[in-house]
Amino acid sequence: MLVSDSFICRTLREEDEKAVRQLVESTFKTFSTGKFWDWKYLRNPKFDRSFVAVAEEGGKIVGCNHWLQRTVKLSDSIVVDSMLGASIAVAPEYRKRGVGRALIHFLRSQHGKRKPSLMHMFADPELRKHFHTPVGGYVPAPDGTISYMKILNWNKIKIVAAAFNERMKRGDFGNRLANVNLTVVFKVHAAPPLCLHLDCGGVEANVSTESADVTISSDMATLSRIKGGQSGVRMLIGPFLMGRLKFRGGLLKMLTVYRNMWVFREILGGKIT
Amino acid sequence: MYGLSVRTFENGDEPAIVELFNNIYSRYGGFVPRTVEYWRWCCLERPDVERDGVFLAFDGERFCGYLVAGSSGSIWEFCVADDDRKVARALLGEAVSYLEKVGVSSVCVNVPSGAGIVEVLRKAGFGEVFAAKMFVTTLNPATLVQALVTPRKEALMEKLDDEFGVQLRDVPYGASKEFSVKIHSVSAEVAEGFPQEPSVVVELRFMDLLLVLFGNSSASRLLLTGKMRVRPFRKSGAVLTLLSAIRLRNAWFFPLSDSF
Repeated sequence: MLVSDSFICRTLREEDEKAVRQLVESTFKTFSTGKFWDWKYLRNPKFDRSFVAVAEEGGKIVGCNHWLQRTVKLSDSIVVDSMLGASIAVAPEYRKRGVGRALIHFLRSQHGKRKPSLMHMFADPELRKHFHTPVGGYVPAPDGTISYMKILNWNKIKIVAAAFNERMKRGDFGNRLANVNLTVVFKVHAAPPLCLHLDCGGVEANVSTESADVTISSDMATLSRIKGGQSGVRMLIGPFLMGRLKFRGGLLKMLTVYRNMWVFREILGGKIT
Repeated sequence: MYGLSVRTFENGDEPAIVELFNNIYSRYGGFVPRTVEYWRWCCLERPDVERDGVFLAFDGERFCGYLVAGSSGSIWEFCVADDDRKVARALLGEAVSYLEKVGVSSVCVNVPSGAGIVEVLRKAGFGEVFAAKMFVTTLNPATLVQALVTPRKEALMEKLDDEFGVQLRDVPYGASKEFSVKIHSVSAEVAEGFPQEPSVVVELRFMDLLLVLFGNSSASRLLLTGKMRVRPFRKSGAVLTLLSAIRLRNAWFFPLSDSF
């Protein structure tokens, strides 16, 4: 057991499972089906409760970190036992208090004697740089994997737009779209065109693409970077100069797009497919 | 070709699937070698996978590829023997039709870079995306180095006759700071702790060692930039020989099923 100023770290007990499941499901979208945590951990042939750490404060589970035992091939002839670091979750009100770091240290100290020869994890490279590398010394694995995606439809965008419009009606955004009348078409490679019309009533998705004021074309990698929160102007300069991000439309209309970027972040920022 | 056919999963297909996966990716590192038990758990029992979403391709009687598609839109595994594009197209076509039928909005898949499947995906309208990457570390550098030394033992025993004492700086919490590599004409052993009388002392950052072992950095560059110190300096050649022999050279590939 590791004791911090306000919380303690210990291994998972059977009675913690419900709280841990809820915490993980509220943190990661992939766990939202309700069965995913049970499958990934409880039904995993190599699941071991002692490899799951929880942070507890006043009887409440405020964080958790899971390790899973695996074998991993290092090369054509080398296979080693490894530990997959997975699903590290901290309740929003307890973030930036060192809970994640304490959970990692706890598991590292608990299993210090067994010391697996390899530990691996899958993460966003930005998160790795700011958290996993300073805490765990992680380095990039040899890179030979490419991820591909094809968007079949924008049905979820329509749902997101409807929810946005409801919030507009409730007055969550004030009069920020009062004088706006703008149609933007997104042409993303490997996806059907997406047209968003913005006016004082909110956002309408998939209207005719012929009346677009501004057309934004990009490849899937640029879109996924923008979606991943890397949407600062500096980040967009590279893809723009390399021709992977293109804008077409009048200058004033483009300025209107820039001023209303927050709407596109609201609509495109979450799960869009 | 005797005629390509695709059918959905049937009980008893598992051993052939596992054998095909392990054969096709035998030259790669970075994935979990498949056993029937692991494959059942990671594909068949996955909450979003139905048996109707697991497609197997046959060239006549010969099993030549399979694909596991989940109702979340993920193609968890996509394996084609001999990188056959015709087989890949047939499996992908079945999978996309199935995923459209179950109402997914997008389809994603991981493939090894340079594989023939990449071209098939591009032609089918898929685009490369920025996705989660794999990262590695160790708590015990000695066992990792031992695993890398063992298959190259014979070659190392011919070239080297030294006891290396390795001291690591900036070691993350819980990881070992020192280890020894003892290579003589009859043995090559790696152990935790610093040796009593090493013939060579090597000093470098923990992460620089990992970067060299996993092929992301070169040992000679570390030496030239002063990030790795060797004492006595005349033994630098022996250190470079050791690190060059044990560094990983295989490309790494992980299917989506290993990452979630």
